[in-house]
Amino acid sequence: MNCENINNFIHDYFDNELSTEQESFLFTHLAQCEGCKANFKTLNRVQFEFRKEESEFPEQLEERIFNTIRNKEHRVATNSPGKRLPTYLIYGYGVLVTIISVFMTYRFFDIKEETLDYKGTLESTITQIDVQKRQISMLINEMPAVKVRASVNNSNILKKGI
Amino acid sequence: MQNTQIINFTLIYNKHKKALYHYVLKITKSEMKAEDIVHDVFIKLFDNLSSIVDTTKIEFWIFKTARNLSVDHLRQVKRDNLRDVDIADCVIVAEDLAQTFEKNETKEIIMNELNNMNPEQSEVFLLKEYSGMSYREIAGLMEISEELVKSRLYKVREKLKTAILNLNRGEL
Repeated sequence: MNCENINNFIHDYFDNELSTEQESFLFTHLAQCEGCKANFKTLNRVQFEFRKEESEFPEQLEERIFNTIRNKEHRVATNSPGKRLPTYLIYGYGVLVTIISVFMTYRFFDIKEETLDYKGTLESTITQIDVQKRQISMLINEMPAVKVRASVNNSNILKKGI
Repeated sequence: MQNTQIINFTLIYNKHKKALYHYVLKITKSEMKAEDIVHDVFIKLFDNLSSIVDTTKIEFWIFKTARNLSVDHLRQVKRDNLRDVDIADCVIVAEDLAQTFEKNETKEIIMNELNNMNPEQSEVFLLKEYSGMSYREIAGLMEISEELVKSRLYKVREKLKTAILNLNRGEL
């Protein structure tokens, strides 16, 4: 294998795409070839320099990310999305309850009035019945006494055991 | 169930946060925008964690989402001609990077070289370095062939190598 192919191997090595066998082959060649070794060293320096002295992850960004997640968690805990009704349904429900309340208030006054009317009618009926009862008593008291004579042929007498 | 989700999320977050942030920062060249995008990526990840069945694909998912958001941002900047707004952020980044590079001339050379490259080329290198994904995964993410991924990576590394060699010749 010539040095051009080895150069491809070196690139693959830094791309982390070289198999273990190819890696062994590469390092055997590097031990024997100064040109390829120098090439390897330069590419190694490219990677080393690129990777070093990177600034840390911004703390305020970390705080921001976890604050957002905490708020999401809090919302989920306090208000389960599965049970949450759409806003328009909540407003609709409110309007419906108001309408029913107003209707029931009117109905209450209507029923109260009807009850009072009924009570008046009932009282007057009771008064009439009392009057009639008194009249009947008076009529009965004024009737002449009836004598019932005992007789076998009297149809008003029940014949027991005869 | 909820606790398990938080633990899983935290493990993934700690593994990828730094690489993802630096990847997005280098694509957008804006600290503010990079922070917004990384925030959105991790929140999306948290929301979708339970639906990601194949956990080996999480890396792919994270970088794909970050790339999409970064590309959207760059398109938006271009479309709305808001470059003036972004310049302020870029200046901050440039100053920060300059401070870092004062200590490290070689890194400055590498970063300048990457910034001056065709973004299609440098992006493959940034994805490879920060995500550690395979040629196949990067090809899937960028919707290009594996061969093209490999070829672009080769060209970028060769350009960076030449830049370092030129620096060494200058030093001598």
